[in-house]
Amino acid sequence: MMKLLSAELVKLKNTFALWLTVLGALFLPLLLFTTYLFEWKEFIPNAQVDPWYDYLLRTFNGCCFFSLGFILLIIGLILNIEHRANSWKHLFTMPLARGKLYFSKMALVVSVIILFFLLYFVFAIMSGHMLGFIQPALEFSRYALPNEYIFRFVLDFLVSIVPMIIVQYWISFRVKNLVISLGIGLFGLLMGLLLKNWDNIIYLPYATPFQMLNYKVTAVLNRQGFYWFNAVYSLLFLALGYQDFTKRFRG
Amino acid sequence: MQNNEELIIETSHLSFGFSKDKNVLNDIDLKIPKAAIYGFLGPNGAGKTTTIRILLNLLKPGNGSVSIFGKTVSGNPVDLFSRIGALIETPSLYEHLTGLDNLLITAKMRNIQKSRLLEVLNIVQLKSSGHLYVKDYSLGMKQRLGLALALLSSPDLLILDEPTNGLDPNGIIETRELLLHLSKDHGVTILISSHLLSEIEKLVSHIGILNQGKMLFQGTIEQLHEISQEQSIIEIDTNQNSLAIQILLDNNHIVKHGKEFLEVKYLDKYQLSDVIALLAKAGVAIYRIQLIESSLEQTFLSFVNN
Repeated sequence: MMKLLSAELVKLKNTFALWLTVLGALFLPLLLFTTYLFEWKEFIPNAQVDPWYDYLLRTFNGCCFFSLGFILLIIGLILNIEHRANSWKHLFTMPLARGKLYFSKMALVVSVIILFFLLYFVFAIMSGHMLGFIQPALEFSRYALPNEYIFRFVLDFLVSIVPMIIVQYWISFRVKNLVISLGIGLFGLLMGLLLKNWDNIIYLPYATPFQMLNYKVTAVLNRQGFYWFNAVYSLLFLALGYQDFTKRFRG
Repeated sequence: MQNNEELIIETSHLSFGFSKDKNVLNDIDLKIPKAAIYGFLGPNGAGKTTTIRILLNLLKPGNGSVSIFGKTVSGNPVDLFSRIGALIETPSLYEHLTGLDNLLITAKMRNIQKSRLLEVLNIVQLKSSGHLYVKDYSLGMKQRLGLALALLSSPDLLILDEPTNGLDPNGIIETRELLLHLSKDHGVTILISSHLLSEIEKLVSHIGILNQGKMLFQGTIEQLHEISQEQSIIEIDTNQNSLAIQILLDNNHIVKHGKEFLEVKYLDKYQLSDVIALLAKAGVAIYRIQLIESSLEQTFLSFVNN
């Protein structure tokens, strides 16, 4: 499996997917950094208020809004490498179980997405520290980073996007045209956003991440069903996609 | 085809259709013996690529079965694929990577030593271009890199779908020599498809002719030569064609009036002198006598057009 993953990594060389992972992760932290830097008076916290919570909430909301589009594009670009090379037929005539191919590419997609979020939060936290250093009135240097708050959000957010990643992965290997697969994903996101407050919206995989907007630790943790629901949804889509890839998909 | 030969590829009553109404393959019984170079011939759209896709389990047959190395192809035949190298239609190449990187990906997936990469590049004469991006390759270079990918695992069976597409005459000759070498010296069985007999007639030991999804001929190249020879005629023109035809019929030659001349069915090289002697003895003046041999290409075309 490691050899397969390493072969998948070679395919990423010289691709836009790799650049998008870095530049996409840099986009919002850079936007926040420049806004805080030039409009710093607007962001001076009240006395005894930790500025990190406000700053991180903006980072989290940005994550909910912007990162999803990048994720759809990254998945589409990675699968499009095979579509453009017309290489499914080559892959399917190798002495490899189809399941291994399905999971190795899925592992690559998940690894790149994790790298994206890792870079996103590293850039965002570095940007907060730099703001504290450049403009002490913002008081970032005075308070410690609320690690648990970040950890909770990252965990909840990653859980919320797993079903969407699996569905989009399925669509992206099935639909050769990148614009169409991306369009389907963006339509899902749009529906999720427009119908955010509908009671049954959580049944749409693309809508779950928007439930993380204005993130509050307690509010999310009280929804015990959230983890179970996403786990069942993820396993269901994983099984359906696997079945389709190994039994019906002909490239 | 002899029954006692070990068959590497065997299909039985293979049929396939993209829709229920129309089959693109009908009752195909391929029989490819060990170490054969099997030319799979047919015009564009005859069903060659569809057959190859079924052999490689990329399409499921509507009816019939496929057996390779004596094992039925179905499900996910991982063991079989370790012994097969394939090039189907256009080569599957990652154009944003170098030739070497393309080979490296397949080598990693097939668990092949890196030293083999330069070997196969050398075989297909791309050693000096391995570090170039594939997007800068010519069509012929891409075709050769596709061949290198198929050869990477030193397969026992090579399945090549029109591998000489885009190659210049030198490239075609080099590919032919390489395939002959693989067959003769390494016992590799090769299935090579083409729509031009002239391109592969010097290479193949066996031929299968496919048209509109039906197998029209299958046998050795010698058997095709025999059929070709059977279609050869001797054209004759004399001052007394009616007398000449009677003399030849009386002497057991198969003869008929053609469009312009008398046409005698050609049997062997001794027949010419026999015909001349008979007519001369009867006092018939011969104005013209010419052997019209049917080429393999004409025989192939006669199969396809009929």
